[in-house]
Amino acid sequence: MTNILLHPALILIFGGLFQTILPTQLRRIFLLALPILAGISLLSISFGNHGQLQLFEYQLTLLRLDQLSFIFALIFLIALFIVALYAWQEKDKLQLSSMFIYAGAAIGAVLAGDLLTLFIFWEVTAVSSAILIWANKTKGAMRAGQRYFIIHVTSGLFLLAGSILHYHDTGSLAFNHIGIETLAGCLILIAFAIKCAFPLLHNWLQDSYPEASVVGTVALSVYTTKLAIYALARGYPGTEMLIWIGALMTAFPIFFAVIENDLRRVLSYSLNNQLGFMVVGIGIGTEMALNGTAAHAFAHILYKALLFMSMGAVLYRVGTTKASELGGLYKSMPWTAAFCIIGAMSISAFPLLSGFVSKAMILTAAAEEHLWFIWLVLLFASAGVLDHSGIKVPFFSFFAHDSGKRCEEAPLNMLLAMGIAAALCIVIGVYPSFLYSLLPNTVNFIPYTASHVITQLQLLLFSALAFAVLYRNNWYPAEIRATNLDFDWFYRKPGAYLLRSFGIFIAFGEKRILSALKKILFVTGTKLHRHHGPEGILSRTWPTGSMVMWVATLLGAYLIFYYIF
Amino acid sequence: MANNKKYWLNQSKNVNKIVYLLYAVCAALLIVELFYHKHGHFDFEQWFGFYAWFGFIAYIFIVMSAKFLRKFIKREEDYYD
Repeated sequence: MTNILLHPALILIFGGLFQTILPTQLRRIFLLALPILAGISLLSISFGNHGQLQLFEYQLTLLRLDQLSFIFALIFLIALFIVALYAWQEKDKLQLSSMFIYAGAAIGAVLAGDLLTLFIFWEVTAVSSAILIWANKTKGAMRAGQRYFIIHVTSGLFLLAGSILHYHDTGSLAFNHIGIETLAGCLILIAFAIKCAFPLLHNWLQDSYPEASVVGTVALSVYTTKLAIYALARGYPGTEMLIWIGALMTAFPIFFAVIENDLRRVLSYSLNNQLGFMVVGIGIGTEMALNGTAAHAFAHILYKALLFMSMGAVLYRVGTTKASELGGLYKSMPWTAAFCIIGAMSISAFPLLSGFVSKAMILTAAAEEHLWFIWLVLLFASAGVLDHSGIKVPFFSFFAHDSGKRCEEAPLNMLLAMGIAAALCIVIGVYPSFLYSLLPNTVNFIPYTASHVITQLQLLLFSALAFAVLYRNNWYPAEIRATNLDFDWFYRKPGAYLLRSFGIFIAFGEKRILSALKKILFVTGTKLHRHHGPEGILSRTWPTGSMVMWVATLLGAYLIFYYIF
Repeated sequence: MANNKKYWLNQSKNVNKIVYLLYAVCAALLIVELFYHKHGHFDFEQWFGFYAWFGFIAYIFIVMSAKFLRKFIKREEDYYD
């Protein structure tokens, strides 16, 4: 790449800024063209390092393209095209701008070859994505956006601190394998862990995604966490700890998802659970496992965006995504319902759909390493996915008890965006070789064996059978309006209380300090007035001669200092 | 928008048809086990219908324990406001 302005990330960022001055129709077409332009730029770049420059003593690599960064950049662009189509009617230019800057920065971070470039794009994603949450303009969105913003900027600070230490340890800023042997490695891991929503660091996700705007949530579901997955796969493959963390991540969100009423929040818990599968793959770190992680990220972005788009369409038409208020919407929104079901079956990993060909690689990789316990946890979590994303989301919104709500079908542009995502889910499921050819390592895996298809169908359909039994006997937990406590309780209740008390304490101290400061200022002010005021000795006008003398004196002093030191 | 259209899914006998179909497919999936060689990495995968009963039990366990969890973590909807 000769011209760094052709960097796909910069095309999106500057394009996102430029669109604000365009008239509506032109802007819509321009925004659809941007991901395509950036895609052409991405495909025209050869594998290797580009845009290398020297900043002070640091060697930066603005763009590093290899198999791993390519597959993430590619799916980020495909998703951006779909989201741009979904946002065709969006009038809020600030939101559109921040969406493109956010996507551009995420792609820039994925393509970054050094930690400093990564840090800069990392922080840009934090700021621009927070705007997508605030764009919903509700009180809840404002607060959740603030929490989101603070947490993600903190993640950036860990990354910066770790990078500086890493530079001191190794003398290089290059972003390759880092590992957890050094303090620097641990700090950077914490940065990634926050953005990846590791257990106990996860609540920003379920807190903020359901509060964002219709379009914003779809964009958010694509980039932030998958950027973290990429960064983990780059810096920490084969870190055993990640296997256990990932397994925990697949398992615990499903319990919360079962009893959550807001279906966009259910999908957020489900997103967290899907990330767990990818983190397990990174922790195992074999070729098969890393392939599985990359493939699963690719497939996941599509079906998760599809599910969020369908719930976004429901929110757009009905005004709520609370399961307790919905039901029977298939009568009004048959197409949205159909697309939602395709997304739900993909995430549940039904044969012929995308999740089936990607998730199985991670399970097989775990089995090949004889991790029987981890394997069982992943299988257990797969049954959980079928419940909250496979059944609960489509069932309680489009079927179940008819809420009596009637509305129009989703707008055409939303249906088209969902249609493209659904089609890609099917294409990947039916022709997995397309996805496999993009993976970082050579693929030695055949998804469609009689064993795999039958065992997977057994797992899923017997889980569905369990649902039928529970639901028909009224044992299935009813959808009720409620808030379920999660780990964020600690910082939203006692944490906030402590902070408030601390604030009162500070305010008290502030008063005393301020009055002392005022006193000092008053005294200095009077003195200054005495010397510099109209009558002051230092405000008299002096002849040029005395100035020349002072300049000569200063120069002389400078010379003496120069020779002495 | 008044809509008096008749929906196939509105009739409970049709919903029953779907559920019976699910029962039938599940039964078929178990019977198939007898007629093919199952590949697996672990010995326990060879147990008869391992995936079937694992899925069924896991599902019930997840849903019922989540229902139980509600006792501890459920609060009013405006709890944080």
